[in-house]
Amino acid sequence: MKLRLCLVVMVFSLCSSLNAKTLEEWAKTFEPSALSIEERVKELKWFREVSKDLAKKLDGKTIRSAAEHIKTHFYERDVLSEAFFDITGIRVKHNIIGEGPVVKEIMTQLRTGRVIEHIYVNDADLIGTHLRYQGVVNLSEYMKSEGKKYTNPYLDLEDWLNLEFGQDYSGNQLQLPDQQFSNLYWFRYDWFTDPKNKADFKEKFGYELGVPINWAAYEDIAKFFTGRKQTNPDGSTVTAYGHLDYLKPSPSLGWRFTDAWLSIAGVGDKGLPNGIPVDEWGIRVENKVPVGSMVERGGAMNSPAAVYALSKFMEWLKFAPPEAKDLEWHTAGPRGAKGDVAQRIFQYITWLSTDAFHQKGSPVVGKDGYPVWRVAPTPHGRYWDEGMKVGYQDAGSWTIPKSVRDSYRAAAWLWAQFASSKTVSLKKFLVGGTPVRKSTINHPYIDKNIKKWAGLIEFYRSPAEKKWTDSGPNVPDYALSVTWVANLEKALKDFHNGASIPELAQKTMDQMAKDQDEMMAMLKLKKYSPKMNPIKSKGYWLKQPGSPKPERKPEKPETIAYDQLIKQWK
Amino acid sequence: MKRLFFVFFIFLMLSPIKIGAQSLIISVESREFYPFFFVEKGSPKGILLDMVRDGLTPLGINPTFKPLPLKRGLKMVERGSVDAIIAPRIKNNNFLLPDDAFEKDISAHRILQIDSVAVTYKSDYEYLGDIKTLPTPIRITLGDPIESLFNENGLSIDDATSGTHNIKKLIRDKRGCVITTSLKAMTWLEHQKYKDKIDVSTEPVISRSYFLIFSKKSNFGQHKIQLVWNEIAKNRDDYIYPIKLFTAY
Repeated sequence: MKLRLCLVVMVFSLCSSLNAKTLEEWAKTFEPSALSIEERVKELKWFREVSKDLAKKLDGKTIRSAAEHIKTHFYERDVLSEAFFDITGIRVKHNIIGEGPVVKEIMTQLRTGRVIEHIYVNDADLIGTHLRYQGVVNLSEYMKSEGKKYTNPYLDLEDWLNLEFGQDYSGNQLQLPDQQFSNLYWFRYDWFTDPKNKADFKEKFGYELGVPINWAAYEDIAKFFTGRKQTNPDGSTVTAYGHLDYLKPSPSLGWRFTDAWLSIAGVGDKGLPNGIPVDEWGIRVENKVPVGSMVERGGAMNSPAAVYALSKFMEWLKFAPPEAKDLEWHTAGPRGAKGDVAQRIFQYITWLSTDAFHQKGSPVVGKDGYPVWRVAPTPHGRYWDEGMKVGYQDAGSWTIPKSVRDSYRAAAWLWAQFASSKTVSLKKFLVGGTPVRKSTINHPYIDKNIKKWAGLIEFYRSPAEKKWTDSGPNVPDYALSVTWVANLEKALKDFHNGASIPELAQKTMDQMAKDQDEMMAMLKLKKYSPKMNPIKSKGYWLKQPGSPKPERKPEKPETIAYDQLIKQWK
Repeated sequence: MKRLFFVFFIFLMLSPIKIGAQSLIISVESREFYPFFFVEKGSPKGILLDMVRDGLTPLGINPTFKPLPLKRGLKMVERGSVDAIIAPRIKNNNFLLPDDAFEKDISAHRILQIDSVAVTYKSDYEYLGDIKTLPTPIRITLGDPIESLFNENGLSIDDATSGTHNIKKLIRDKRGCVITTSLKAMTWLEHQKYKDKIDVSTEPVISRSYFLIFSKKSNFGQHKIQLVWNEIAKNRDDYIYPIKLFTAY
């Protein structure tokens, strides 16, 4: 019996090793790549050599990493973790879970020190949390000290897009971006350039149909297309919607707002990557210390601009497909590909890599095989001023909690570097559509196929891209977003029950600001812990320069032709 | 008649039975297991106690915590002298635990999962899961049930009344290790005196779900018990609740 069992085990092991690819085979697999085949082999050899002792030490152990459920991370799980094991002998279990659970797990780990995962792909939106909790490995220091030996000599941090998203106030890298996702304006280029649509729009609104620069134009375009018959390249005729959104109660309803919706409306101050002293989430920060969200404390979460942001979100729902109420960020993401939506102000590019947006025969793919949709800059609200951030983008970023030490830390760091190495990055982008390196974006392969990405590559190559930023360091604890979800859910319920919008929006933002301040006051963080400003009259703060800003009159709608816009990006 | 009413009123005021609020006697270990449970100036305190209290409040139940050595506490639960105990899973026909307590290492109805890690004097040693490699003596707090694990493996143990004593001994002797919670280890790593002198294992020596274990002899109904477990789990998995909870310690 024992002999038989041994034989089975031997055969099984032999089969497994036969299935394993050699380093050279893996190097060929990652084609196209920013590196030549020789360079890839050289980089992969470094990973193999540096891991030898570590793999022996961790024999039988598994590095646990966690990431949210998007194509990029599935590729990491299904292909890259296998390659990493074949090359280094270090086993990785890349757990794909929702972004909500990722945040919950990492926060539990930071608070208790209990090791749930060895490494996370955690949005850099949490940089404000991490720099205040002081619970994650300072990668800049690690690379110079005990991690030096395990730091890839071909890493080339200069090649990274928006490395600063993962940095604290002093420029220390606390999180290393793994995949970049922006939120852009999405629209049907074919419908916008249709002569009949153009003429009818001009006649009705008195200006050209084009990419909206501001919310007033976005609203006019939404009105224009909603209910209008349109045809798709696949021959189908649809009754169009002028807008698309999602409002299902879920953590992602919170992200719909926390992902810079207030900044886009113009709530914050001037300054890049984030407005100072007020920007993300309407929080005022003085000397790195959050001092309040309420206008009465100098914040802007219940300012006229914030009320306007929520009001427009609710008003525009009448232009969106009715199923918006059942959609979350990931179900709304590919919804535009059904072919009945004219434009969307808040489109995460993460979902534009789904097949529905690219495959032949799709209502949004032309006869030439290229998309008939495009992405363009996010239109801004009436409180927006030149010098402010324009839109939102973030980076799912490799983050190692301090509770992960020694061999586990080294192995987790190697895995992070491998999964975002030059060898694999271009291939990973082709699968998931979320770039992380400049060498990916600027690669000749991308030049040849640029039409496929419908404006996204032009965006990433443009200096304007720097105006799309993440939540930044203002936010002291990302868990504050829970107060947003609770208040938004209530507001939407009242909205569906017929509550009047401006009053409802004011009441909601007042409550949200109060709740957020109460929570911030409770926090006791290791660095730059919030300290609430005393309450003053709203009038006092609204008279001060910058944010919170007093009521503004409706703006004049403005549009720009897409082809002209693209030239600006170049 | 008025006098009679007055006497009845005074009796009601002084009566230990509170109308509308049921009380529950819960045993908790008397050893120091900071910040999860500990006794401060004679009063039992800690994160696990707060979580149990918050789980009971919506049901109008007022807990009384009784600090006792674990073995004695368990005996009292067995006899029904107390209603419940805060402890890791223990098989006993007289105890009532969540259904998944013995099926999973991390139960859905736990109060909290608590990891104990090995703290060693700074060296090349790294604990990777084999307890036989732990440097001895293994320092634990007096009464920690983890003791049996080391006894079974013939490892020498040194116990002290608190973790603070243990870490001081480790620094003084420069040998052996201290077994403590990952949370406590984290505070030592930030402590000016210890941070450059110690290593903390990534891998836990033991990871335990802590439960609110009820006595089958308690008058507390099964339905209510389930409601309490559910309430505790709901709070634990909430985003906001842990902020309030951990900020207090």
